[in-house]
Amino acid sequence: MSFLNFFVRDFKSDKSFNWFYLLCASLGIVGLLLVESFKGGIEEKVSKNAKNFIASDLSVSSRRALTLEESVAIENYLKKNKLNFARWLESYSLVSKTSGDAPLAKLADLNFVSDEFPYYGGVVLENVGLIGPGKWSKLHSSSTPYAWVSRDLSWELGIKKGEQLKIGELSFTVDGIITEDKFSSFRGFNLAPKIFISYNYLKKTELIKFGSTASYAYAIKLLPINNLKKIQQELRNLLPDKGIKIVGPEESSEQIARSLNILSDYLALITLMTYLLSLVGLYYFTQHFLSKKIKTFSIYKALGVKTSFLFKASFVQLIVLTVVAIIVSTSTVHISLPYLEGFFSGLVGEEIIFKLQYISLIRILALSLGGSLLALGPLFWGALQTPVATIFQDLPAELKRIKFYYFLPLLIYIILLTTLLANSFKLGGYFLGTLAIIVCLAATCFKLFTILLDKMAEHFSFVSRHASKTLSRYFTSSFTIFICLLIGMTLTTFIFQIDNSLRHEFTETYGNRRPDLFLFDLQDSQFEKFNELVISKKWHQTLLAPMIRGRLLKLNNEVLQKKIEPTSSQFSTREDQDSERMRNRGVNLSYRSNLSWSEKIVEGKFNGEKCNPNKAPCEISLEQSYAARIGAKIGDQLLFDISGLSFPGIVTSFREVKWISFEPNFFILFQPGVLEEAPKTYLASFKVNSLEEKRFIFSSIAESFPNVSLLDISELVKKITTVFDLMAIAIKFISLLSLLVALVVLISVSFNHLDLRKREMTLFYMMGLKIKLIRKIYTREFFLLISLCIILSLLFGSGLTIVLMKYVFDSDAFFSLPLIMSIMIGLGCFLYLIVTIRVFQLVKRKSLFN
Amino acid sequence: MRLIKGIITKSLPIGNYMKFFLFLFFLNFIFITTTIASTNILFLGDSLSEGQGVDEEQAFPRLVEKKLREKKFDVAVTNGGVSGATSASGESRLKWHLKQKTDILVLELGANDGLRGLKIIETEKNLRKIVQLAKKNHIKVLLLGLLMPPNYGIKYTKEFESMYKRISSVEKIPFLPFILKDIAGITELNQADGIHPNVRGHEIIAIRVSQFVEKNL
Repeated sequence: MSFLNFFVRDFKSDKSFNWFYLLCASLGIVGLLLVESFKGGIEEKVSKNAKNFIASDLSVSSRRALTLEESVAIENYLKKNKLNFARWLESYSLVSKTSGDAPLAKLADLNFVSDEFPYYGGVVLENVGLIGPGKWSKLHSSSTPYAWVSRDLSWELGIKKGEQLKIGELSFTVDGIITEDKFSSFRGFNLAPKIFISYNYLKKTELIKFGSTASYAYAIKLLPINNLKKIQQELRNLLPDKGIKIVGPEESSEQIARSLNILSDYLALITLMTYLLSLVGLYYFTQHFLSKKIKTFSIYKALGVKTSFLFKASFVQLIVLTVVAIIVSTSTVHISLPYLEGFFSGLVGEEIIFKLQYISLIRILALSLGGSLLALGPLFWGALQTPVATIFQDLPAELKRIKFYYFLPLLIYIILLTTLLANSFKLGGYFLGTLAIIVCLAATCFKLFTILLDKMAEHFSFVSRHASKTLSRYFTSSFTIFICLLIGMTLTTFIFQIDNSLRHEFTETYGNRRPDLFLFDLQDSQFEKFNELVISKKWHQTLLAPMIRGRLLKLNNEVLQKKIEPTSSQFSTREDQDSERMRNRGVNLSYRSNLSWSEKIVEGKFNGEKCNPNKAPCEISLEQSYAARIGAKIGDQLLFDISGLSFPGIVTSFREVKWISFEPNFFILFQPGVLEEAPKTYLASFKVNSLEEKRFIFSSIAESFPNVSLLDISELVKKITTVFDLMAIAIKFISLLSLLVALVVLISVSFNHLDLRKREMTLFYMMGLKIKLIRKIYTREFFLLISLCIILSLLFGSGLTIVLMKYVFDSDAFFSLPLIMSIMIGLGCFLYLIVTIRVFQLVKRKSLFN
Repeated sequence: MRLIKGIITKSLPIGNYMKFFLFLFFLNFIFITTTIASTNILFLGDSLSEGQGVDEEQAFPRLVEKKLREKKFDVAVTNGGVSGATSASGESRLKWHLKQKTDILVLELGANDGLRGLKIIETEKNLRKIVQLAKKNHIKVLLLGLLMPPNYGIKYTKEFESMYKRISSVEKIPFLPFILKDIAGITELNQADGIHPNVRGHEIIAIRVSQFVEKNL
């Protein structure tokens, strides 16, 4: 018989295996495809958001006027590479309304933009809507100089659309009131409300002359074929002065870059887990299938068919099945993506894009095929090693011939895969290492559990005794089902715990606390009056902190300041000196009795009690990254110069500060009792409930404390948090998807395990046990397994979350124990119910003898 | 003079020689205490005085001290520069420094008020309060003037410039019009932010300010 004939016949005879394999593999691949396409979409969306910040794919900016040579070099390079660019100049100026009473001048952040601006993002104008790329032509009208003015400025100046605004030596007509803008400032924050005007009128305003301070930028649009990093490098070669910043979207915001990295790491992990889960399901099912098929193999061998021939047939069977699963799942995902986008967009109230890149598709397909062959191939090979004598055995054969080293290629494959998917040895290492520890711990726990049950069995009823004895008697098969259930449930716990922790990190912790207004330069003499105002008006002040300017002089009696010789080469690489200058620069100090919600001690002990500097040096708490930069350790002595006086202190603790809280935080905190008398100013932050309240706070502060500056940071916070919100959606969606895969795998594993025991059930019936009792035996066995799995998965899942949050996401795990316990108990009950139903299906007089 | 004339023209008895040596000692004492007596100079300013981005030893107040000492003036400089400081903080900061002996106050404030677009009338009021507090404490005040960059508009920059002149004339205090002259706007003399002078910039400021201080010692 030819190989093809044999293969077709054999293939047809394994209908149930083929169908289940197709189902399980397709489900796994669908999961992977959805995760990858969602990942692609969300990354593109986050990246697009970041592009909005710089209005382009790449920005070249400087806080000094570029020299003619530099401008020529940039423009020639861009023209040579056929890249479009827009000019963008940002500067501060006093602007005033030209009509009405005495001209009231206000500081404004002027943005002169050329015709091509912007390539991404836009502004939302009151009663008009979003003015995106290609819709800015009115601003560049040659007949009338128009200006788009931020709402805050229109409030401050009392100016309306159509009125005249004097900017420099030119009058502009206010053409629109900006309610929202997508761009960020080159200075990181806006000291004043924005105005957008055409670059064509820059000269006529007469504002930019020698000595003017401004940020000069080129916003560059790249072509799809361009490599951002390569272009950045080529431009850097042309512009060696590091004072000229050449940044892509991700570098435009540190928080966004960090968020993107975290998101990629998280999604990579979930992808890996979804895949491993489906592999576990396939592995278990194939094991079940092969335990039945061993006899067929033995018959073939008895008839003279060679083992290699049989293995080849099995191998081809796996390839064919996986390819069919790939075709089915890819087509399904391809067809359903547009509907899924609509469905999920509606569900989460945010536009969700699914984008599957070819490279991801190829990766998944290779992953599915390679994983299946390496995981299941050894099972087939082991099964084929079983002696022919198995034919004469009455019971289903166990796959005892499978050796551990058969799976070494799989192990190497998983390590490579983890590293590839996670894009990092560290992340992959932590993940696999923790999983390996979990498996070892699980094996120990299960062994101890069975020993304990054995010892206690005498005190149990018949049903419980039998269930517990079965676990130890069939240790290998019980452990296999146990480990499958445990991994599935641990991953489920992990998914929810990490979802909770990351959401906590990005939105919940800060969501209701992030301030909208930031106040600074409040004087000591104004403190009481300010406090009275805040209390009387019931403003929601999120923090008030004293700020003292000082300079770190010595660390353990060693002078820290280093002199930088004024050589010309150093002027061209000024920013290279940043880390060294960190030690030279003045620092902002503060003192607190209690830590704010956005900081926590990571080492040492914080002392908020009043100290007596005459008795001993006061204690200091340092922010951990600052401590690392200056090389300080716990117990080190620091000496600060504060307005001409020296203040010693001892480092007693290191703090971790959540900078994305946008709260006023400090690198150095002194114990109270030493800095109170030093000249200081106060910082405060507010959360506002409405635009009217914001407006009221602005006018009250301007009236009562004219020297105090109040910044509206809500737009900046919103820009950053939009990214976090997107990430939270991503995390939620992918977690649910993975859970779905996990659930299917858990059910299939349980069903297969029960099917394997069907013969045993029949024997019990023949021995005279009542159907009801038989059902009880199996459901009790699963009850014991599921209970142990719930307890261990809660522990292991939480452990895995802590490890990954700490070492990968550099954050803390936030557990919601009631939630996760309810989920796990719910999942346990659900599984138990499913198993009970299956047991009821199997343990029937008719089905027992089928 | 008569005594000196006497020494030259007449021979003195021993008792008179004793008187002469005592007189010389007295003269010497007077000379020492008046010409090389320690003078405490306080620089009350913002990031320019603090030396933001450079070593404190390279910030112009410390360089002024060095230059004056090289010229044998026994001066001690206290750098009271605070980055981001506005004129509103000046009065309370001066009170803090009054705990130490201060002979001369070099006032370098107001730039941050201007950069934030604060009302000039308020800045002037704050600066005059500082000057008056110093005067009340018998401290000589030297005023360092600053200009606003042209992008703040002609009207504001002119008003800002004339504010210093007005304070100087009303309060009758010496005034150095623009300490960043020949530094502002020159890339080679400023840091990447385009506002703060680098080490070379501070050296140029120090030359100008030390001459100004020396003239008013």
